[in-house]
Amino acid sequence: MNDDKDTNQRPPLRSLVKQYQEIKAPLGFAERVAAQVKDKAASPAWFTSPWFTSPWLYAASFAVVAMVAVTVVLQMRETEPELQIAQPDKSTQNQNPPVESAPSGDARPKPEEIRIAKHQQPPPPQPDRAKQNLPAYQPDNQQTAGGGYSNLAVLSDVSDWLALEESIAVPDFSDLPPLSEIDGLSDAT
Amino acid sequence: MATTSDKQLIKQFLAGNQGAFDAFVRRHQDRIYRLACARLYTADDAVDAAQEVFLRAYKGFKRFHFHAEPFTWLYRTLENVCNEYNRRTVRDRTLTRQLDGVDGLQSYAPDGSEQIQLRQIHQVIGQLPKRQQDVVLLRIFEGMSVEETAKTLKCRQGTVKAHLHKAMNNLRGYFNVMEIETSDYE
Repeated sequence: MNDDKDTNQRPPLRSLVKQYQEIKAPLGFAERVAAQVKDKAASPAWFTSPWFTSPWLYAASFAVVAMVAVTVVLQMRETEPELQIAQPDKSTQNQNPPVESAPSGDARPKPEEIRIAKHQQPPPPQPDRAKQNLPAYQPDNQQTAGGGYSNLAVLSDVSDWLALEESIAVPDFSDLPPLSEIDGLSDAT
Repeated sequence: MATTSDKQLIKQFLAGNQGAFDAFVRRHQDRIYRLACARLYTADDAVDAAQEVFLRAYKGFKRFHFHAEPFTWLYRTLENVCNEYNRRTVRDRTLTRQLDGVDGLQSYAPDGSEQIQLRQIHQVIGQLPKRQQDVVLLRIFEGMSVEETAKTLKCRQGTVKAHLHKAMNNLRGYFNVMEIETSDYE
């Protein structure tokens, strides 16, 4: 029953279409549009241009800022390991304190201090120096406990002995082929 | 000037004739306003939306390639503008409802006779899916031919007829069955 009443209250489609088609734009609509168009035309072109209002512009700006930030961070990370490598270790630093102490606010040593600290480090032990510290050969002790003379008896000085040691070069047999590959040798064995 | 086609008007406007754009606005203002009324809650929103459509046309016609009819371009722009307005309106209604504790629709309630007509049109259109709404608005309410409707919606005439047929079947449940003569529109 209610549905029938509701349906009767509904306007027929044709009358609704007729009412719809009688709707007109308000008076002065075209003039208002013309005035707004003039206002738009008076505003700076760059401000209303699609480039300025485009979200791509903002995306590009953000990308540029992000690239600059990443570049700065990468450069900072590249310089930091150099300082850490050049920094002398604590044991060396205790033995050889730097000439100038770094200011309390800056924990990193200056490059000049690092270079000085490097120069003050003790050089590694040289093998030649150990050889030079060998006791000098005594000609009086030529005779061994067994009664014979050792080969060292002909060498009057340590330097001669070292020269002899250097002259006897041990050949390098690593390049030689194995015995099994040498012709005739396998037959002989 | 009235016999000049839309494309000729736009060409004259692009050549620097401002009066051609004014003539274009006067030619289409009623139709654009009506279509805006059918899609928006209030007549005030419809006026603003119709103005926005023509402002966008003023800026966008510089990029118009004359492949389609200018009214097709206007109709697409109107759809976008109305969607923006409706999103904003729904958001405002939700906000009003949250702030006032009342139904925000009351602040948009129509009171004039025109608003009552609009509400009835909204009830009719609201029965239909989006594509059928377009077809019914252009073919039945605007009185455009099937060919014009197809050009505006960028589809084939058979598609328009199919949507119209389905829309008529859907509307028969709303209006009296005998009232709608499908052959008048299909």
